[in-house]
Amino acid sequence: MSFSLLFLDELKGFYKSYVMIFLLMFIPIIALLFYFILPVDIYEKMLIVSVIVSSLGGILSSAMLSANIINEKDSHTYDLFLIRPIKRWNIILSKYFAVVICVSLACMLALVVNILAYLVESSVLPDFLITNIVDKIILTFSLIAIGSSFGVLMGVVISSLVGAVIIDIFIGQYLMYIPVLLGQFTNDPNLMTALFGIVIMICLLAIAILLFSKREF
Amino acid sequence: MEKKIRCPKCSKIFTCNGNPGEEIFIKCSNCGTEGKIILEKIEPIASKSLVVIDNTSKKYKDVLAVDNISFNIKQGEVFGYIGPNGAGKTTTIKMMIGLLKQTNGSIYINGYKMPEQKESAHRFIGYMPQDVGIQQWRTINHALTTFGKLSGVDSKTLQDRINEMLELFQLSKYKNKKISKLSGGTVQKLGIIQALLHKPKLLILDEPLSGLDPDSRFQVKKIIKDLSNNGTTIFFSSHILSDVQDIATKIIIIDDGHIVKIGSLDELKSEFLKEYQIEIIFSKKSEKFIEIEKISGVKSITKKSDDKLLVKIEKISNIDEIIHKIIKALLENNCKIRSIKPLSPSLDEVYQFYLGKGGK
Repeated sequence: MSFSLLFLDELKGFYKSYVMIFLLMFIPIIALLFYFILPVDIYEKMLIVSVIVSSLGGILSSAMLSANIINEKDSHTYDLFLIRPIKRWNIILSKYFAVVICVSLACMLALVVNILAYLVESSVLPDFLITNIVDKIILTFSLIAIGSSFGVLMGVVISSLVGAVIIDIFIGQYLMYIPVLLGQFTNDPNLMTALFGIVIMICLLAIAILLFSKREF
Repeated sequence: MEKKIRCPKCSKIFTCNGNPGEEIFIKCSNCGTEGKIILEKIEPIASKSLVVIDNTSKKYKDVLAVDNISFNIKQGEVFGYIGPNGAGKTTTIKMMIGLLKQTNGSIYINGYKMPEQKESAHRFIGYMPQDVGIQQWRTINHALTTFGKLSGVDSKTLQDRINEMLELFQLSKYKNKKISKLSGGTVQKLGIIQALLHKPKLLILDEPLSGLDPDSRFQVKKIIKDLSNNGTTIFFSSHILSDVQDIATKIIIIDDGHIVKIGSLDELKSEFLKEYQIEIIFSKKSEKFIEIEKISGVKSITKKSDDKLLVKIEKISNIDEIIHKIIKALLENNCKIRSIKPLSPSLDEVYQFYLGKGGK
């Protein structure tokens, strides 16, 4: 009960926030911009745009979560939750899933906008675009899931907002590509990218939850 | 029982043993200072005490924020916790609610050991922090609904309870306003409301009145008194000593992590008072009051102005009898009395005494 309540609350908080409005506009606009300026064919265009969108989503979700957790620690927001009979992991996971869903939506919207742009331009939808969309979705989710879990960990561990965001940007983005790279050395890159992504995400979240549970407020 | 004692001269902590209530002779092993103490009787947890704090300390790296404090709070008591900034008030409160783990000692809330059994204890606790941090995007109603549900209030009755509380604190008109649009005082009141939603047995308030205007302070004090009359146990810290004086049935003075004094205001005052003082105001200038100096028990008289007299009476005397004799003497000497009243020290004076002069 506590998790679903907190999750719906966090979701409501994020989707109503200015940050979310900005993301829903900013990521599709960036994607569209690259779509028009890249001097390559549609296959490469979609690949590059999806990588840019996924990276952007991962970094932004990571920074958003770190900033949010650090701000809430500073303003003693957690005191009012932690003195109620709930488990601490509910607070971390509800926030994590709310941000992952919100940022993923913005990234999906960016991919859809690109496909629509291509449709408007050429009036046909090539088969490879439909088959490859699954790859792009896996890539996007994987990067956002890892970026967000890293963001949660940094938010829990670090007290300085600027410090956490810098670490998110410079270390988080390399971490996000580990499952993609590992996946390339296997027979099924899509599946293995998703699996490696899940393992890294679970590890990072487990550490974050453990530290948050031990933390004194 | 075992009791840790801090030497008043060299600050060394040493342990002494004895039976509860027994007077024992102690000698500091470091500087040799000698003295006597009476070991206090700690009542069993299950009997009456809702809160038991026993020889509890909290150390942050090299800083000893709270040093070996012990006190019990019984059901229905209103405890005022006072002390200067950095004395250890918030640290004590956070240990009581399980947000901080004590370095030494034990804390029990309603029989639950803290922080190990905090989730069970939290059902009985309502807590208002010093800084009420509520997510800015929430409305008052949304925030209270979430806190109410998390505290286990039944969904069917929650909305009625929220409306009742908002009406009590005169915040009904802000019900659908965002937290970001509210004044500091309103957020402060909201902090108290969220602590009361689940009708807690123990209400812990960290500086509940500090950000409120005089009207709101009066209103909140009245609510706290009503809650106490209905059996809620209240523990609150405050810098505003007049508020503590108005509400608290017992007062704890803490300084530099040590408890300096515990007792009711009368107990604190009676130890502070070396003599009784009464003030007499005459309606007509008179010099015949000199007669009262002869009354046994009267230590001295001081003329404060032409019509005002301060009479000091020995503490051991029967004050009522002496006042009677004073009135009689004044009337016999044709003095016209406008008023006569015993002077009582304020909590500020008592507080200054215990912190500044030998209270430690």
